[in-house]
Amino acid sequence: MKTIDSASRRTFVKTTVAGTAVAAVAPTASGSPVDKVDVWILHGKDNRKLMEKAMEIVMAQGGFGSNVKNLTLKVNAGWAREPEVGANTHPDLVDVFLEKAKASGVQEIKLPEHPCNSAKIAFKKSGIEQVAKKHKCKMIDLQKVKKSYRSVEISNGRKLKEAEVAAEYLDADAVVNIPVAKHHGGATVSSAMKNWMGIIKDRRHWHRTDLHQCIADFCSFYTPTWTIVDATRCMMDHGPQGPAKNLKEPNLLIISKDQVAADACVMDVFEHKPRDIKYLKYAEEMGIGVIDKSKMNIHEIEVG
Amino acid sequence: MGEEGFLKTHKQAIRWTVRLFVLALSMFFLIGGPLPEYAVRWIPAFSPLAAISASLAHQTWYVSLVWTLPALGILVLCMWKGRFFCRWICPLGTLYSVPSQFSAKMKILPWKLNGLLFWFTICASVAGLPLILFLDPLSTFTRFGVLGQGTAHAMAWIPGVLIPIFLLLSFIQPHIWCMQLCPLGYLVEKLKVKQPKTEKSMRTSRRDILTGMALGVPAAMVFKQNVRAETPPTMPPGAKTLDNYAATCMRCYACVKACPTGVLTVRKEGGLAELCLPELDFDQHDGSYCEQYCNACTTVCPTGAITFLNEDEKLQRKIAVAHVRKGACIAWEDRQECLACDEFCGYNAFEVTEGADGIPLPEVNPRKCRGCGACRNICPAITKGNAIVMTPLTEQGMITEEDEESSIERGRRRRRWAG
Repeated sequence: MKTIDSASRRTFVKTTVAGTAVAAVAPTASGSPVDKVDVWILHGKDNRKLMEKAMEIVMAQGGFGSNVKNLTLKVNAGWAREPEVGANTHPDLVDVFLEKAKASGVQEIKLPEHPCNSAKIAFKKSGIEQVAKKHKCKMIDLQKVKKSYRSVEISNGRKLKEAEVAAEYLDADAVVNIPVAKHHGGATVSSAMKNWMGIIKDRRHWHRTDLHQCIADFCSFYTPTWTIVDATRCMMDHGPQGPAKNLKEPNLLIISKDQVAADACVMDVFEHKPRDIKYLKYAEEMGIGVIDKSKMNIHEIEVG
Repeated sequence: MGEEGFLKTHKQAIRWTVRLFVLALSMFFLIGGPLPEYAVRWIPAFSPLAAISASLAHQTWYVSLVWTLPALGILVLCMWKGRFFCRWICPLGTLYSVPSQFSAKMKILPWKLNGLLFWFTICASVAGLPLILFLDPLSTFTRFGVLGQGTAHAMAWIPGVLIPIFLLLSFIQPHIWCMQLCPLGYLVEKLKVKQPKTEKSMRTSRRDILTGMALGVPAAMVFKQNVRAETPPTMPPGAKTLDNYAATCMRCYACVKACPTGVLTVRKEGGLAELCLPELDFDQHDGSYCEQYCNACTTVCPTGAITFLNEDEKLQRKIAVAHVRKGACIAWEDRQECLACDEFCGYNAFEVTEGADGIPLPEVNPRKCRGCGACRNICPAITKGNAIVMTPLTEQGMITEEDEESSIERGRRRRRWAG
């Protein structure tokens, strides 16, 4: 309780300072020495309560921005696996998110996803299609709907120079990323940054041309409004599809505006140092976000 | 009396209403939409010819009681009513009837070949290969459904072309297909118990049976032995052996229609016996591989070429084996983190070892691999012609618990000890 109070006070101070100083808008100037990156780490056994708390924090931090009519939500619903396997984002989290987001005044929420398995089976098995339907939100199968892809230039990319991205992600007023954290053969750990592979058309190209660098390059181009990492249960091996031999239950939800910081915090669960994960190392080098905990303002909150 | 009078005077109108209704219903089954995949089976399952022929070729009654009923119903109905099936039910008959209404009524095909075709099919089935079962009108109609799909190759038009051709020919000679050629039409006509048996009709029947036998049996024998393609097709899960599959598939493509990923398509090459067989092609498009939790194709096959597998059985079914070509692999050869194959494998059949430089290197455990082709489909090494090679099995098997427990490394160690 103490932490959330301090968090809202902090924002209060920040906004008043910004207001009085009539400072120009520079919200994502990460790495500035004074301004540490906020990361909230929620712990609790109840997924629904976790997300309720998360949305409370999001709303206290200004929500999704002003006058947001349509929001695009990136979940992980790529695999034909049940929620308990941990290959996809937990549907309960998505359920609460959609409920709270709709209540906050967002009119339209879309969930486009380029699934790995057949969308028909994956969306259903993941349980996310049902909750999307419940809130009258549209899940879009980006494997079938090819026309929505638009080619974009990635000017800061070292190896990835362009990508075809689903237009729903380019045109939305706000984008929220709710990935699931899990073991991954190629990328070591898959979480927020890796999750963008589900909004592009040609995944093979990334695998061919230095997977880690491509993940970092894409994040230099694309930043969501919020990142909420689902680490309620994590596959420690046999990812990204599972089922894993070792399924850990950290019961965490990690929230940040900085996707790199969120990913860096997740690495604790997998007992990796953030700098050992190549895409995080590249992301730091390229100045996309922070991976150093000393540069983060971490709020640990117990939800229960 | 009055009611009967109404039926008599409006018989044509009633008949056309029924026919168009059945046609629309079949179209609906064909298109599917909100219906379950197996809806498409409701069309070819009504053909007694397919049921008899396929049973002869399987040398067993292959189909469950429930799916026998439609064909059996038609059989019984036709013993009483004969061509009633053609005039009231058959959707293809309805289609051909439309141009026949405006026909020039010329005779371009004076001979009735339907008896010959029927006995040819039956005799060839007895010999183990129902060569021209694809002529079955309900099979032809079902095949219509796949032609509209982008997945079907032009080869599918070889059987599919029948419909347009006979639609055109019906403008010249009415019901040219139904009366002169259709083997199913012959069957339902001959089944009718109450019909005059003249000397002439007996003679024709005898001639048809003998010619059918003389042509059908050797043809089936020759085709069965002959012309195998170099590489066998990857058969859908549920097929038994390639011989049985090729023999009993009547090319209705209900399975191709039902496949949600589009991996099941029409074979582009192959010997005469395997011509236009449905096969799995993993290289078509993003996502064209056999889904782990899907048994759609096994639920629709009307001739038992693909036997029904429930979801658990399907999970254990082995249709091919994957193998990593190390020379083309991004991990083994280019020393990059890739592992897309391991990522997409739903069965944990890949075993990953770490190279000296820390690069994870994939290998397939052939005992665990089902051959679903997910790895082949996602493999990014396309410039080198794909690092995954699929070897189709001509006889499908099941994964045992022992296979599931196996590992390449353990196998190697055991061999080292033994050696």
